[in-house]
Amino acid sequence: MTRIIGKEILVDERNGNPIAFTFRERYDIAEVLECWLEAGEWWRGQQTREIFRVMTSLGGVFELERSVGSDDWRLYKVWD
Amino acid sequence: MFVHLHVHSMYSMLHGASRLEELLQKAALEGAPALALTDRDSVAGLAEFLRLAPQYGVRPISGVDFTLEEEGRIVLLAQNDEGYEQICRLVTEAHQINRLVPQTSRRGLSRYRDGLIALTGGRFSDVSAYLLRREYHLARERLLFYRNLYGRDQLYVALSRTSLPGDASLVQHLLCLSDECGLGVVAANDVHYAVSSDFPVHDILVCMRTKTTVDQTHPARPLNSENDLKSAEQMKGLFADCPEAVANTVLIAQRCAATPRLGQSLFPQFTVPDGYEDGKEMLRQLVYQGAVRRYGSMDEVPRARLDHELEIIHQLGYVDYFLVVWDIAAFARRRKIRYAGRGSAADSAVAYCLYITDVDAAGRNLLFERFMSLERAEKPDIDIDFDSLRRDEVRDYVYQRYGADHVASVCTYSTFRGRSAVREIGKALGLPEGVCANLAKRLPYMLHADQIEAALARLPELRAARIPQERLRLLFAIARRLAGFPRHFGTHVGGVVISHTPLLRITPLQPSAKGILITQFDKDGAENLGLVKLDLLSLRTMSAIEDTNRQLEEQGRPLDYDEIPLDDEETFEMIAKGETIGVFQLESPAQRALQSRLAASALEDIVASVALIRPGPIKGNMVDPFLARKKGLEGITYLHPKLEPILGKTYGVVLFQEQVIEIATAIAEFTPGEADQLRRVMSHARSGAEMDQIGQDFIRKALRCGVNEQVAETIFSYMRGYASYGFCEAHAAAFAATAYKTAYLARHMPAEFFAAIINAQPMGYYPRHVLAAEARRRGVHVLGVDVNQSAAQAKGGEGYIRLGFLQVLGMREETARQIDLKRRCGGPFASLGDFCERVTDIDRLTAERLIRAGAFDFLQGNRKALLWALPEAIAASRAARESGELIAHVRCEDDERSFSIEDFSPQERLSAEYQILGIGISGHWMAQYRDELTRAACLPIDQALAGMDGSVVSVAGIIIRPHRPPTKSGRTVVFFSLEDETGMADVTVFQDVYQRDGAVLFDPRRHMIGVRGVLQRRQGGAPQIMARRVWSL
Repeated sequence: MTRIIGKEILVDERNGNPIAFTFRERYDIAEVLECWLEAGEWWRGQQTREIFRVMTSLGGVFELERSVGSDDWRLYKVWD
Repeated sequence: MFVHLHVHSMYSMLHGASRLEELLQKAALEGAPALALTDRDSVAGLAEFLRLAPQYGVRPISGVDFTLEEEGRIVLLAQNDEGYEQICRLVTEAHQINRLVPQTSRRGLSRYRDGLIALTGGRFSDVSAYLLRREYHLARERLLFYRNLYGRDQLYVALSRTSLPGDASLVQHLLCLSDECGLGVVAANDVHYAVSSDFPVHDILVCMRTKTTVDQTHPARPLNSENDLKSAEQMKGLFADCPEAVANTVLIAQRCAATPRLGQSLFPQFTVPDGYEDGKEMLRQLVYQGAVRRYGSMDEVPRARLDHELEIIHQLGYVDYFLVVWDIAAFARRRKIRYAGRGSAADSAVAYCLYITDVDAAGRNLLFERFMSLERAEKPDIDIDFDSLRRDEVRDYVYQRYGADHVASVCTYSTFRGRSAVREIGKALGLPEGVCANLAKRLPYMLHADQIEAALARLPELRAARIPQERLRLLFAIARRLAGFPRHFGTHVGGVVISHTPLLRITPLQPSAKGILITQFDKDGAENLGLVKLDLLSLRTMSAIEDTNRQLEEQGRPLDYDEIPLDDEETFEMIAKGETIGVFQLESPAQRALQSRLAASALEDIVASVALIRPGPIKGNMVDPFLARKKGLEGITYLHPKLEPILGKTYGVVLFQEQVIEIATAIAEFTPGEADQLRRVMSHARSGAEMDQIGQDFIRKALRCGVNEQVAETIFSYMRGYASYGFCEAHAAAFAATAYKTAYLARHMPAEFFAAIINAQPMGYYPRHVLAAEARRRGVHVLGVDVNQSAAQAKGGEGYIRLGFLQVLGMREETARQIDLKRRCGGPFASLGDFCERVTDIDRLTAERLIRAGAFDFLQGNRKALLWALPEAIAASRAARESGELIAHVRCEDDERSFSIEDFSPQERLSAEYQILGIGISGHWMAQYRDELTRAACLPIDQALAGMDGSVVSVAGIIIRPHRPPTKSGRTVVFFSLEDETGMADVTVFQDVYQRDGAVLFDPRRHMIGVRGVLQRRQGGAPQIMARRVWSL
């Protein structure tokens, strides 16, 4: 099961990849499980988004997203 | 280096968002040595792709992306001609399995596998589908199946990295499997557009295909814009860990030859009967025999001209083509199927002597090079119009004569036009359906998809639609991109190709909705491949002529149509008054207005008038000078003495395409081929730059020939004035003969002729009620449908037309024939019950329509009472039939209940007649408003038109065929006709009035309008109303 969160978050990056993020508390990213691109709602002027499915050091799975070319990150989904 | 081996173009129909040129341009820009075209279940784009690719320095590879019957897809690339044939056979089979959703079976793949390289894997394949479902053993099994089928060297596993979820693991598994099975890998990007900025277009196409809107999700919707034609660097970067996947694309490309070959000679050799040395000899003899029959004696035969033409035909290798066409025409003559050759073929004296055309090209001194020339690479195009009711007999003969494997109809691709683009893109964008429909309905019918935005600004009826324009910006942008994209696959109206080799070696054949097999290439594609198209067209005018003849024969006064005198004064008198509604090619308001000014007195005038009312002469401002000079109101001068013999017959005006060629030849010594290039550039209204270049060549060459620079420039300006489409004289002459003869029929046997053209509807320019009004104007009574008087078709008699059952809305042909037959065999119908009992084929809706249209008025005239009685009559007759008992005629309408029912009002009756028959029988729609119109100072049309020139009149009527033809000024002018119970008026609305009041003219919901304007008779022509105000009634 997943829950859509859609909240802005702070992310630490290295070489463009997320290494940690803060959502209520700080999570270290142990592994980027998957990364892909989504065009978004282009008809509403949305930019393409980069999605990272990550596993934290505590074993949680989250999906983080950001618009291509931007530093604004959002927590997209949480995997229960 | 890298070669894209999995690429879709717009020919993938809603799967590809780029034109071939765009894909090739991008490939060339990226320095790709080759490019494969692998459209979905189709090779339709291949002929053009093969033609264009060398121009971009790219080697073309032919392939298809096949949809598999079970799931997934497989890409097959043709290594050689054999492989291409296998692809054609597979595509053909795929479309036979499912016409609308083609599917390829594994059995088919097993049957047709030679000369092919197969790509499986990627995201698209069945193998990957198994892997994504984690069914590894099934994936392996399927891959081994393909390996057994194609062999290790011919099968590759495609890998794609298009930034989709699961990409990494899928590629990893595919790499493992390929390794395990000993197969090579290739990088493939499943290209759907040349550049990623076209992703929205692709997404919209997918929405159209899946019938979703952009706001709805669907598994087929693309997730991102990564399926573009990436550069070699990008691909190398994506597959840095697997360089052999990139290298293999180049190796595969090297193993594939460009196939099929273009420009082969595929036309069949005509089987020459004994007694002739060869086809050339046979053609010569047939031409000479025909010439003697055409010209009366050998002395009159233009031998030099015929020999010249025969020599060119022989040199270009079209002897067999002419023999085949001669054979088809001879078949039609033997079967008495009416036909007429048209188009530029009428420039040929050989075609005339072979009885393919009826225009004496030599006698008219027509330019053969307009039709065929040594310099021109294009194939000759012979178009023949056949009686539309019997055209299929001719086509069947061709199939039978040359073998079903060797003959097929040519396909056409209808492209996105304004209306369809608005409806479909709007729907996909989630715009309200009402908004899209409202806008679409108001767009001019033939408007291209990239002209919508301009039309919206220009046309007041579109502004009146009150559509939120900002919401449409996206729609317009996408419509512009989709303009010219093929949308639907269809059958060419008459194009048939014949090949000496089985067609499946050249093209897949797919069944049309009617079951006819059609090529996957359109006319141009088929010709690129070396197929020659014959146009066996059907023309309803031919059917109407035949119908008129038949009616006259039944009356015991047969007419020899071919012997109609070409100098009948009464016919020319009628034409000169512009009374030409119903006459082939001469019935539009513009033609009628021209005829009344032209005062034609000979067939030549008709030839000129057919060519005059065309965009070229109108925009080139040639109509008025032509008329003024013909009437002697303006002197005829020539800018150069060499122009006199060319333009003499058209009073110094450039009117025909042949004249353009002759001028270029005479003044600037263009070769006929060069001159024809000039005509093509002009007639296709290509870019101004191209025209300027031709102009420079013309002036340069003219100067070299000693022509004064100013004169050369002026002459070219006349030729340039011809810029958009003009007619060739041969075509005009072919049409003129039919135009004159149909005018003769309208003049001398109006009842039969107008009955025939009512039967042949839809055809011509006017709806049925206008044709009926015209027949009435000529003193012919138009009688309604009557179950005891009518036949299946309308028929003319002494001063009347009796409408037929087939004029009833929705009437089936079998039902119409049964009514006629039952009455003829069993006598008149005595009652409604009798009718229902004997006409077993009748259904309730049709019977209702017959009653409402007045077909039973002979009983007691109360249509509403009959409608009430109908269910009982049908039930009783059905019961009688089921019980097998013969019962006395049910006379439900005599039921006393019937007499207590009040009949429909006159307005309701009339409305039903218009709705069901398309013609008012009990009166004219406008007549019922006459008192009100009189109070509003609107005159009956006949009175208004009798007024003084310059007087201001107000009229009202039913609007007929409003249209906006091109004008010389480029401003919008609307022409339409207005009909009331007393006649018809032609109305012109100029731009200022149109911009203010024009919204009512093209509103599909409004049929009655009022017009106030000035009565004008131009140069003694028929009266017209120049509108000052137009309003909706």
